[in-house]
Amino acid sequence: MLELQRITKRFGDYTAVDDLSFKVPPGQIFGLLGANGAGKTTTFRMLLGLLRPNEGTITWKGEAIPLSKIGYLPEERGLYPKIRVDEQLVFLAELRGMRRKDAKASLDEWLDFFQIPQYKTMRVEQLSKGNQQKIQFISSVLHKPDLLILDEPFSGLDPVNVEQLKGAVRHLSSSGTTIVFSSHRMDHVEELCEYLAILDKGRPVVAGYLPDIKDSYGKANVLLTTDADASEWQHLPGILSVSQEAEGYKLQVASKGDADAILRQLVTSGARVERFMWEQLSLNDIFIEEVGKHYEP
Amino acid sequence: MSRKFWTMYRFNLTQKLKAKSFLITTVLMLLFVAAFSNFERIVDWFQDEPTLAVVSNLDTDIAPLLKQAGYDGKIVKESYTESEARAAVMKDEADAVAIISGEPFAANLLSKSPEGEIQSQLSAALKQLKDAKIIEEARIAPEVLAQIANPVPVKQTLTATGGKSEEELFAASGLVYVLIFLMYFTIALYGGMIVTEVANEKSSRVMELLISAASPIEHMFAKILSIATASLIQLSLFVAFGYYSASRTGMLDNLSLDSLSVSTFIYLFVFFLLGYLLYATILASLGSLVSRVEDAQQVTLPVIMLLVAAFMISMFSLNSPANQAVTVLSFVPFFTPMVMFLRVMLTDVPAWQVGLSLVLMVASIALAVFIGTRFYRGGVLFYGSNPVKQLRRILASRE
Repeated sequence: MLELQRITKRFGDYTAVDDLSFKVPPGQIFGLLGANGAGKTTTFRMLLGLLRPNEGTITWKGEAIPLSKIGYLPEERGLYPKIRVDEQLVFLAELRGMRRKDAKASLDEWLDFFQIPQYKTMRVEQLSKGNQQKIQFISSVLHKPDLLILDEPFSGLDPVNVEQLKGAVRHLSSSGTTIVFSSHRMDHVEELCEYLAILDKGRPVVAGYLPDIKDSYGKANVLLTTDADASEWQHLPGILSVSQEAEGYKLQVASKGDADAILRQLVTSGARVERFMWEQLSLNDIFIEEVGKHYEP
Repeated sequence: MSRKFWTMYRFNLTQKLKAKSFLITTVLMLLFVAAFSNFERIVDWFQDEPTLAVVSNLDTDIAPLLKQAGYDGKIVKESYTESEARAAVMKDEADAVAIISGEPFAANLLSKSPEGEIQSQLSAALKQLKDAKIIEEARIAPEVLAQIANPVPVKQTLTATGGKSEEELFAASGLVYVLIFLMYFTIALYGGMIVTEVANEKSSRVMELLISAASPIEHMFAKILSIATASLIQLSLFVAFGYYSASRTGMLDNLSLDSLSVSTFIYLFVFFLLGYLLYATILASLGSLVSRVEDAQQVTLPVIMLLVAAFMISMFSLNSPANQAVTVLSFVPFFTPMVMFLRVMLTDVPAWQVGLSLVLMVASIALAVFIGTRFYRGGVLFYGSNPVKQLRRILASRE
């Protein structure tokens, strides 16, 4: 169990992280969301011991986190450009306390997992950006960490590589690794995490178990495809907003009861309804609601 | 030292030794050493043996006397007139023509460009002939001559230069010059290497991974000591090869290696090591402040200037090592490695002064490490174009 209790980090007058608390149960994937400058990387650096919080405590199974148990994928990717892949990865794993022989075996497994064993003896600068990123990911997991910290793991990857990396993350999670990651992409977070926190200017605005968070928002979306004209319905009671989408309308409603009322009314008015779908707010909706529309991913 | 230190040390060292740039500099330096130690031979290659044509009306053959005076070229006897002699020089039949006459002894040396050496050799040879003639005519007894030739002995007793005679001092200062230059060159070369490597690790962002796995102090020392090891390997290659090459060409004789004693080696090693550590620590810390390798030169310039200053001071002090200013400067930690070494080698330095300078150096290295590792940890997390601004951010981020 990773536990952050009331963490605050200040740089001079600037507060980068303000009273942040969250828990990650073992084997879970935790998403840390926030706009640029929200304090995600600062939080990670505190987890890694690169920065010390001004207030609060960070514990792993009730104690300080041992460096050898952490894997870290930094946001700004960094490897030695002129050194062979196997040499530097084995070195980095050794630095995290792994034996040389074990590190070599682990490297072969991971290169096979990503189907790139041919890059083993190449220099990093000879690889494409996507492949460099896979190598960087391998460098963070080679030593079989208990806690894996991934700062923007999917940025700059093409969809095929994103899927491959997601597969790796799920694989690690199911084998017991606790994972904390940050992302700009709400869909990735929603897909992978059950636990998350949204940071806004250093303050946590939402934190906890995703289904609970969604439940706590009474609001929901109704996806509607109909021949009736719904474009002015935002004035009707219970409807918060209407937006026109390719396949019809997306109505945000205050509660599930309001959705029922809309459907009844549509049926009684004799309109043709091709699609009527109720769904909870997406993480994207929640993010925009909490962090505001000024956010630019 | 921890396991992590050794892991980093080994990785840095093997990568350094394997790097192409390192191999290339080693080979280039070996070539340079070979060229330098064979300098005279190479010059000789390009210089033909000179030919001196001698037109003489003397009874005695002047050739053996010229050889005695040091002339080692070819000598041919000719009977040119002056205009023929001019023509011979212009047509490169001879490098010089000496037209010699007796009663009184005189000579005219014709050559295209000044031949100062031949001129003085010729003059010496003729002087010998002339002296012999005068002595013979004056009927001076050989005993008298021997007595005239006998010099008056003046014994020199030195009380302040460690009992070294002037020649010994002169020879020692030549050796000190070489050793100080070696020290300067090595610290500048390998100190520069450290800055580049640290700045490289920072700009390629590997540093973040490294110091999240090991402490900055371990990382810094692994870097400094692995480069020191690489430098010692490289230097011993140069020195061994240089010694071999110079001993073959006889260049070694100019360097009074007799004054190389065990204590010289100990002083050299201690001062070099402390000097390297001081400069390397500061340079490594500065390297962590820059975000790009291109900016490295800018921040390290003041430190390199100090190193150059230390070298210049030593060069100026070679002739007056007992000067009061030199004494004072030898206690400044940045100058101590070279200036104190010079004083120890050329004058009598009280033991307490050497001890004090060493204590000052060790203390300043400790201070540099203390401050440096703080910047190091902070430096690698901040990126920006301005190192001074970065320094301020690092200071602000400290709790």
